[in-house]
Amino acid sequence: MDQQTNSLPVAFTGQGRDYFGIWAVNLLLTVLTFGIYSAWAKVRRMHFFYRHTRLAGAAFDYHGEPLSILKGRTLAFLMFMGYQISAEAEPMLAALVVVVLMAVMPWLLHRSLCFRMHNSSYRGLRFVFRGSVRQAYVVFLGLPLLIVVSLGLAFPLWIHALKVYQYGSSGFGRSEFQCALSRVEIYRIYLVAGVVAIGVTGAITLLLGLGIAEGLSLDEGAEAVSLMMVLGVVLVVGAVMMLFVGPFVEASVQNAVWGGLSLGQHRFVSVVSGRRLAFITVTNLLGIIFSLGLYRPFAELRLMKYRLESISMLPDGDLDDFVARTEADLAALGEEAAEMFDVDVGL
Amino acid sequence: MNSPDLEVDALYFDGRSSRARAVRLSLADGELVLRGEGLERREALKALRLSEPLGRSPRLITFPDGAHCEVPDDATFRGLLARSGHRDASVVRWQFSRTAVLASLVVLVACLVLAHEWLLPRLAGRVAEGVPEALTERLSDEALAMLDVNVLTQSRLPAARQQALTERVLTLAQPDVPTVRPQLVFRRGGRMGANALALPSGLIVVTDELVALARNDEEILGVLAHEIGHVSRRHGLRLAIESSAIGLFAAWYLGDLSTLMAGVPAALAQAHYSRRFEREADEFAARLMGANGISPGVLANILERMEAPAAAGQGGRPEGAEPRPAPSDYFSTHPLTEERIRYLRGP
Repeated sequence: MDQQTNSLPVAFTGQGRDYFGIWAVNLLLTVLTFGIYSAWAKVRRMHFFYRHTRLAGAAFDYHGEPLSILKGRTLAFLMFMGYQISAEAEPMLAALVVVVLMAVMPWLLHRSLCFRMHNSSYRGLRFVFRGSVRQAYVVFLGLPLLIVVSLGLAFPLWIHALKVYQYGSSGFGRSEFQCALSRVEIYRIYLVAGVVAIGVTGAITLLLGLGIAEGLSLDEGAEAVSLMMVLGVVLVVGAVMMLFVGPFVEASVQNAVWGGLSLGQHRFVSVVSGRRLAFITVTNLLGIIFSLGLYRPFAELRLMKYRLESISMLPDGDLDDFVARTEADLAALGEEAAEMFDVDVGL
Repeated sequence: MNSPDLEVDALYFDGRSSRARAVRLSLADGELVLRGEGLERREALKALRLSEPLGRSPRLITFPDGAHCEVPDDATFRGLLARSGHRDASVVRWQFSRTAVLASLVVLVACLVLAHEWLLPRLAGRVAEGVPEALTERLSDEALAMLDVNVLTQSRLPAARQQALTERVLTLAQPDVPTVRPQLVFRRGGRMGANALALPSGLIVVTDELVALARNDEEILGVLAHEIGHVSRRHGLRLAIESSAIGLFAAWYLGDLSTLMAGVPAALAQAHYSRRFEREADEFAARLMGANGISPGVLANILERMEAPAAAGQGGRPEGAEPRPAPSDYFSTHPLTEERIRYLRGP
């Protein structure tokens, strides 16, 4: 029924007013229960975002259970406390804890991806994560170490591997996503961002340096002034990166990832504009400051809506033709373990 | 349509394929009845997973076998459910009630105020008690080393004078158990000026400028009594714990939006805590001085003189140049000095 040239845009129908109520009530319950309720709050939040996301007349659904999320959060909390306590008591022990955490983290992140995909559905069919644990160790341990060794030069390589792992290893029913993302493209994005960031940092340092040298004869207070100057530069550069360079990188990466993504013969396209994303980021921040934090749920919604609605599906054929995996198929993927717990990670 | 069987349109997905089928839903005898072309299904309401209402998003109904229904018209569906005696969870009703949301916000603010004013100081006090001696000493030594590099220089006070002051402080009768064993360290203050500051382990830095400013030893002892108060009440550690807890909360709340902003609430809170701690240290000093036959007014006298150069616009210390962990260096340019002087001189 769909033409090949048709594009199906993602629509997001969530209203700020509704989300504000959900946010306020759930935040209160979270505070009153010392954080325990946060697992239930997360489920409500996920439901809100999933079910308001529509594609071709149908909504997405979230199936995560609060108790699984609570388990994951408890685990994360215990690991954090373990590190904190050992760090205070014995630095050597803390180093050991860090090594253990680093060794376990890729496995946990793999479980988290499985959980998230397994608990997402569309048109009654579940998504699935097929990425291997071995690849998780490459992506979450090997490449990060390479970033350190290469003094950051491998960072785009890591982003590339992460996106390909995350998106390209996913499936919908029996169909599989392919992520044809080019390394050159990711390197190009970060190269441009790096040049802009260095340029801006240089310009700010120069301006600040000139301004201060002019306003002060460098005598007794020079030491304090230089310290403040360094602090000022760090703050301004941080703000510039966060508000301007960051959104452009995010926009380009999202467009590249979705542009290279396919599901069977269906393709996708994403047209996030860096300028628009930067505008949203800046105005969201101002909104939050001037509303003393009350604008936060609206800000979150606004950003999500823009990023989601920038995505369209370019279908080739009928969306009715996807089929579910069989029980045996799912067992082979270890899907029953996917129910176990979720570790929150901002992937 | 005034028959008892109210109906609502829905899309049905069988869970095995992504094919959508138009159906009509109605209720009969506690069962959901689904009718479509060549399709009829009945399922007890209790066996179904009914998604919670979320503003204008479609309602999703999941059958035990994974089949699922999407109901775009939530209002009609709600009417249908209401007839069956179905009631949404209270949290769901609160989320969409203006009164409940408003009440949540009010209670939330009250909780935050309570946590900040009552819970956090007590918790930080307890945690500070539990910090092991070895850690306290390490932190204090590090802080002193940092001050030595950045601000302080070697004292030019004669060794005999240093010795005499140290002995007088050690012979002071302390009102509280366990007593603090103060360890005086003499330094030239430089831009810190006439000042004393206590580190959590009992190290008290006394500047040459302070000794010079004092008209008699009682005044120095008064200042030291105040610093011993800071040590006795573990103000340095408590301040560090309280402000990092606030920083952590702010970082969590502002989350992905801004890590830069997270430092601001912590910095604001710092001023509030230092005021409370000053009061406590002064109360302690007054009792200690009383127990040793020194009038608390003596501390007020030297405080007044310490404030004088600051008021004249010299000897100020740039904000933000403070080394961590924050030493309790509160004698300099404080607007609350007047209030403290009034307290110490008494009625």
